[in-house]
Amino acid sequence: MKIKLIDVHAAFGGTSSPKTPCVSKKEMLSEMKRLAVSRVVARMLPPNAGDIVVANQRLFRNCARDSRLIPCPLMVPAGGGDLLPEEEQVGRFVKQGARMVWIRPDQDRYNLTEIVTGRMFKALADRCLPALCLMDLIPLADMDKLLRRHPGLRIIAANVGYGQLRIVLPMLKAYPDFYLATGRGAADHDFLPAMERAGVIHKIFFGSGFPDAEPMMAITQLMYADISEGNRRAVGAGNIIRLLDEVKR
Amino acid sequence: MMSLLEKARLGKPLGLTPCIDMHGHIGRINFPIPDFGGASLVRSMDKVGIGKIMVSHMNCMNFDARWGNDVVAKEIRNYPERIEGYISLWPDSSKNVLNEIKRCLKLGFGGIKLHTNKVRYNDPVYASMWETANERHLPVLMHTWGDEPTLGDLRTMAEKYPGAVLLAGHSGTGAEEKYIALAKELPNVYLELCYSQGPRGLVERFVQAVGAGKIVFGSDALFYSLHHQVGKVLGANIAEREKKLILGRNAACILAARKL
Repeated sequence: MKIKLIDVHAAFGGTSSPKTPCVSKKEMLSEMKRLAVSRVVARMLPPNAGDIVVANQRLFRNCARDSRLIPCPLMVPAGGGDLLPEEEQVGRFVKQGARMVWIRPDQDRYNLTEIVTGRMFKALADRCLPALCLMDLIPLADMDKLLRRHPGLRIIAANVGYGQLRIVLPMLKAYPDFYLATGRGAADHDFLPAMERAGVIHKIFFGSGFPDAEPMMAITQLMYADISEGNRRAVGAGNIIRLLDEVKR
Repeated sequence: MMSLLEKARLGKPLGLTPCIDMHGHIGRINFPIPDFGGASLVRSMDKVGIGKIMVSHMNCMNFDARWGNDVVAKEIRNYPERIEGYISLWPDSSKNVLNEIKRCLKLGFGGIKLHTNKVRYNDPVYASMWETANERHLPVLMHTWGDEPTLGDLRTMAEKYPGAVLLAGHSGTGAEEKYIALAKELPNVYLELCYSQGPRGLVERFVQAVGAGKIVFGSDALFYSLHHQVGKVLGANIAEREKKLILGRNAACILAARKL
């Protein structure tokens, strides 16, 4: 019997190069159907140097009335005076069905200091709304500082990179609200069994990295892992369902 | 009959013969791999149904290559049908290179792994290695990363030693068009697939450009997860027949052609 899969790390929409076509929502859903992935916490890629507000609006429009998609909008701190206050952004996101946000500090021209992001992360923590962070964009050392400052903030790290267990495993053990997506990056030999042995597999979520990565790699990583069937189901969908259900609406 | 994709989606062994991984490692490296021995590797292979893996020691990248070859020799003895060895070389002299090749061939090794240890693949220190590979039709797995002079040197050696079988390790890590040109233009060059990032569509593009017959599966286990890497072939939008070629039939032909 196929286990249920909910993909926490997938996106459609933009591209950075005219030579690389945009991946449409239809294409993403078609691929997910082919691989029997039942739901996607979907990001929409804004154009480079593009309008993130419009990108989020497009995301919500695309996800509306499609139970396969859970919108994951891009969040940016409001200290520059050009965006709604963080609490209001979060409130609107949740009202429109978002159960996660993502952040990309460098691209959106801010840093992770408290003065810049304190209000944003407090707003997220107050609602138990997780933030997806692509770790090829945010160093793990910066993430550690952030988690110390905001103990209630839920962070899901994706694209961690192989060979990072000496850093990632202590962080998973130490920080109750630090989580990891599988697939691209967390691709060490016996990664999932190591998480099971360490007692942190309840903090690991299935994430494919679509459209950049071949999504089946994250599936075989999970399906062939030497872990219990209960933990396989948990990583596949159970862990993320639990987290998303805790978002305060 | 269940497709390979369906079996993988259910976590079932592929039931494929032959099923061969042409790029593996054992041994400790400078980042944590909790269990880095032959037993761990074979357990990982059994889950997928991979019958055989060609391995070098993680020390293929440093001066402990000879010690690493001894560790691999032990695992060859422990798992004679499952693990085969690539000879790792520390190219400090032509004499040492030749002696190590002769020694390891007697120990049952069946190929050669080259890493870019600050010595180019066309360096005269490797001449005896290339001559041996040429005479015996040995596979030479060459670390590449889409850059020069590595790919240029691969081309030079493939042309000079048509009897050797050159596997371009980590094909597609940049310069896709160069890898494609190598496999299209040189009958003794194959594309080997291991790459942690697993870009979507890479396998399909390679198959379309060079044909599935010029591609071999490699995982770079125990660096990477074999379970993660095999997904790129199983999930690719290519024919079942093409997956079988990549997952083992091409490798089986390469290995059968050796004079050991």
